Amino acid sequence: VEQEAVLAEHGPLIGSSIVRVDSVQKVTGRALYSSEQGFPRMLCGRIKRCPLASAKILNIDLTKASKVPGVRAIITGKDFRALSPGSFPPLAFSEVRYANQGVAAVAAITKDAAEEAVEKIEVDYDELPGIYDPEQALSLGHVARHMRVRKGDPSRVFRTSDYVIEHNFSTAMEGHFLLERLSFATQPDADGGITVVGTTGVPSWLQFTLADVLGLDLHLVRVRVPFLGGWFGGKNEDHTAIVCAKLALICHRPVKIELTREETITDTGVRHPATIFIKDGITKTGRIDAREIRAVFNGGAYSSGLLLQNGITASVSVYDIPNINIDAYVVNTNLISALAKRGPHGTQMVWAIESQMDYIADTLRIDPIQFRLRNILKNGKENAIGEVMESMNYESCISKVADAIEWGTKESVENPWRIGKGVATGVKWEAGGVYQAKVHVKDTGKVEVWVNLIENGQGIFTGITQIVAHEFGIPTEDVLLLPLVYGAETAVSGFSGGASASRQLVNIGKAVKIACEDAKKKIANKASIALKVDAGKIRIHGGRATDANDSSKSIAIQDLFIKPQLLGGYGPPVAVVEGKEFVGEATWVQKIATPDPETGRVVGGRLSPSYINVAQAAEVLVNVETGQVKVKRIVAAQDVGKAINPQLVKWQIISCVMMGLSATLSEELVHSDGRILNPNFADYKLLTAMDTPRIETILIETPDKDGPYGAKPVGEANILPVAPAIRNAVHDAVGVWIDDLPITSEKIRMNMKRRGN
Amino acid sequence: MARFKPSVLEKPSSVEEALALLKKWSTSARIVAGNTTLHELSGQGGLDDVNVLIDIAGLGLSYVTEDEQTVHVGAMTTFSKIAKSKALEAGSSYALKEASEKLKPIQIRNMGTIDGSTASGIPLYDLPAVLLALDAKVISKSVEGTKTIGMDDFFLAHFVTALAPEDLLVEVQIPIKKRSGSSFVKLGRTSVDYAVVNASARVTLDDESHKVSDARIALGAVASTPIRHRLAEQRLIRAKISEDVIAEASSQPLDFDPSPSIHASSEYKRIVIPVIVRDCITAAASRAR
Repeated sequence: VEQEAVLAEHGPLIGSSIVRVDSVQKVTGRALYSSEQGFPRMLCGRIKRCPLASAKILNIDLTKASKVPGVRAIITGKDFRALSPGSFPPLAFSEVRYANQGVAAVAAITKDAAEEAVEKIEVDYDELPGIYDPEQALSLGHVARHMRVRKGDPSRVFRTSDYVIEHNFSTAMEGHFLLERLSFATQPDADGGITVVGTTGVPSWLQFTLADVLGLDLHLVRVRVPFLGGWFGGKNEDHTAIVCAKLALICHRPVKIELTREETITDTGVRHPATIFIKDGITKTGRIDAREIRAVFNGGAYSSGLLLQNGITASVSVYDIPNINIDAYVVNTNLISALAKRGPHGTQMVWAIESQMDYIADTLRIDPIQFRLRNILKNGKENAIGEVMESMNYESCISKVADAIEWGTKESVENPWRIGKGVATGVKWEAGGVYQAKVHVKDTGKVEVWVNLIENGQGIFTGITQIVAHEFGIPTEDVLLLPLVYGAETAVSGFSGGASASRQLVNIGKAVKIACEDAKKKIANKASIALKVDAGKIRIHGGRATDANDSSKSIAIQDLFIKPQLLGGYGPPVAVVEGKEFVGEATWVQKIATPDPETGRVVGGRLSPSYINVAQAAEVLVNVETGQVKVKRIVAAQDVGKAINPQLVKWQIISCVMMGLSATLSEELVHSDGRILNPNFADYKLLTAMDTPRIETILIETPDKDGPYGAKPVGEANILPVAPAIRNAVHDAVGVWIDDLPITSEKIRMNMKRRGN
Repeated sequence: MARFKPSVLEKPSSVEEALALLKKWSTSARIVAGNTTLHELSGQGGLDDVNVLIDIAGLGLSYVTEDEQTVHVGAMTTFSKIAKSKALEAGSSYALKEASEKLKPIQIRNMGTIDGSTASGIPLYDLPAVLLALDAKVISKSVEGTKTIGMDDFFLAHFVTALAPEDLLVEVQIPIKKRSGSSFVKLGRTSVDYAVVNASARVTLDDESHKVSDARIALGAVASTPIRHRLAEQRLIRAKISEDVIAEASSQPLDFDPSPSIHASSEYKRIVIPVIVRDCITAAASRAR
């Protein structure tokens, strides 16, 4: 019955798990990635890096380097116009603020010549003491951003609370460890502009930055992004692209810079490591009356704290707490700059909050599920920053994962293993922005889609194809998706907020849907003349325009085109009667309001158009002798609004769980005086397919008011609760609380030992 | 930063030719066996003194054979080939097969060789501990002649073995012992990892008394070389295998301080070594029939 209702409402395509439209290209190697891109006469670019994490640059001597045969240009930070203090320079200007920061760059006719020149660049440094501890940075005032939430009066409430419980939590510095390394190929264009082909998740952003730093007109900068070999927010640092473009402009020749694995890891943004303090006042009956949070995010050298709001939003939108104070800081230190990694800031906050929730449940001897449900923020209520929660379904997510994991039961296991279950919930904010799309309806009935769309593995090409095919009632093969051929690009496809914050399906999808409707209206207008039927009654479907009330009145879209008189009368039909084309256009604007700096309350509109709620339950085995954790299974539930392609949605959720699990159990970038000690896959361990537990997904569909067909973003939300669900399950198994990520075997075992085991 | 940038690739087709090349290039050359270690070290900025690579794939050194007393493993035998070897199926050298099977991922099993994992002298690799426990010998050749080096004398320090730059490891020989079983146990952080700690044991029982007549237990990833757990061995010898004896043997104090790494502290290694050693002895003893 449910399936029939879906079919009736949306037709067979929306909600259908069709095979990815790019699967053949990907498995046959025909899908090209940035490292495979290039231009004729291309030079090789290489970057000279500083081994110190904090130093003044006294002198850079290029004499020997410039004499290396084949060198065409060498640049330093001084070749760029001065930026505002604290902003991320393409190359260090006068001081180095993190280890491996670029100080100079070379373009040469061969890689060997470029590398030799880089070796021969001589730099004198005055080494400075580095700051790595975020608390020290905070005390020195190195604050990039400070955000507050003030609601009620927690300190007054604490005085009368039945229980006051406080704990400290911390998270690790995580890299992205994407399979694809950073790679840029740049070409000076015939009109004085520049084309940049390479690895970024937000082409329009890179376009703006390049225009700004290089002093070029915005429209003389063209950015193109082929298939991305992983992204997750990890390819947003523009400095490498800027250096590459600058070299190309100086040499009047194309230049390519491809970073090594170590460079990619040590010179692209990490997940902010955080220390988070939470203090809660709770009643005997298990209601949280007051909460205080103090969070310090280590932003490394240049984080501006751009995304800190995400952490605030995640902290105030799950539980209904009348009194909340939050102070969240992003501070600058001499580590790699932190930026975005899947669920930025929210992941750290949810780790702390959901760990704290189990501490409280344990102290009050309340079942963790019941405790959460007792405090949940209900649909229609306001969160602490003044946003009304709409189309939420926490209760359903939590109870469904509890049922699926058979909460409250325990299988028996053999020594030395113990078994335990844990639960956690979470919320993901949504991004706004401006998104443009164009669809060109061809005389054959095929529809060409012009859109600035990033395929980073998530399957977005398929989702967008399904929307277009559905709107026109045509087979998916008749949708010609330009990004599948050219990649995302800024020159003709218009503007997009990029791939960040899981925004493409809901926002670009929305723009594409509106563009389709626009084109259909134009076709209907044209057909209404031929059919002598009111345009409003004409349905565009399957390559025809048909009177919705009388199917005998119908005309093929092809017949609305005229054939041009070319070379003796032959030629393809290209133009429409009266010379107009069937082009549908749309600009979808999702405006985002800002919070009041003193209270965090949202002023004038919405900050997060919608909220995506998730819950997860985990079942783990813990070895009491070694502390090893074997995850038996994880159940992940998410309110996805509407799953356009349920299989792809499930894969997104599964990949969230696996990425989160890897970070939970294993991942940590380790440094010594700011130098990363494990910038490789051998020493920074990611979980692999062989470590993957059974992962079950539960999709809940409470339609969103804006997303196409009610869809909500699905790319990130389920990474949020992984770590606390595992942590709470480990406690259930062996009775130890781990408050610092990652949850390693060693931490579990040493903690057990301290407790006398 | 210095670069790994060899300019010569030698591909000898006989052992003699390889030995002449080793003599000629000496310390400026490295032998390419499976190329997994070279690849990783060069990627990390090492090996900048290397100008010549000598590929020994063409020397016919990929084999596992056995005679009455000895299993012979050619230098170029890959983990995959060892793992599939019938010669190691039932005998006292089973630990070598077990370690090779457990090694992940399959790409490394298909590329990596016994030569590379032994001659590079890296103590957190899996085979050094195994070969030490199995009392193996390395046969090396140079233009000067042939040397036989026992495992107790082979590993000298991190990256340092008893092999000279002119020496070519041609074969590893493992003695076949009657009524003897061996095993390998590894603790890593994930399924695909170097050992946090690994252990290999070979337990030999007396024909008549069924008591332990010989025991060799080796640990990896805990010192600059694989290292024997002598006190545990001593506790086993002349004892009759039982859970209690194994427990006692494996909880014997270490006569060295396990080296810490970014993967695990010395203290944690001290806690898990008895667990690994116990499992290792238990498996080896159960196979000693």
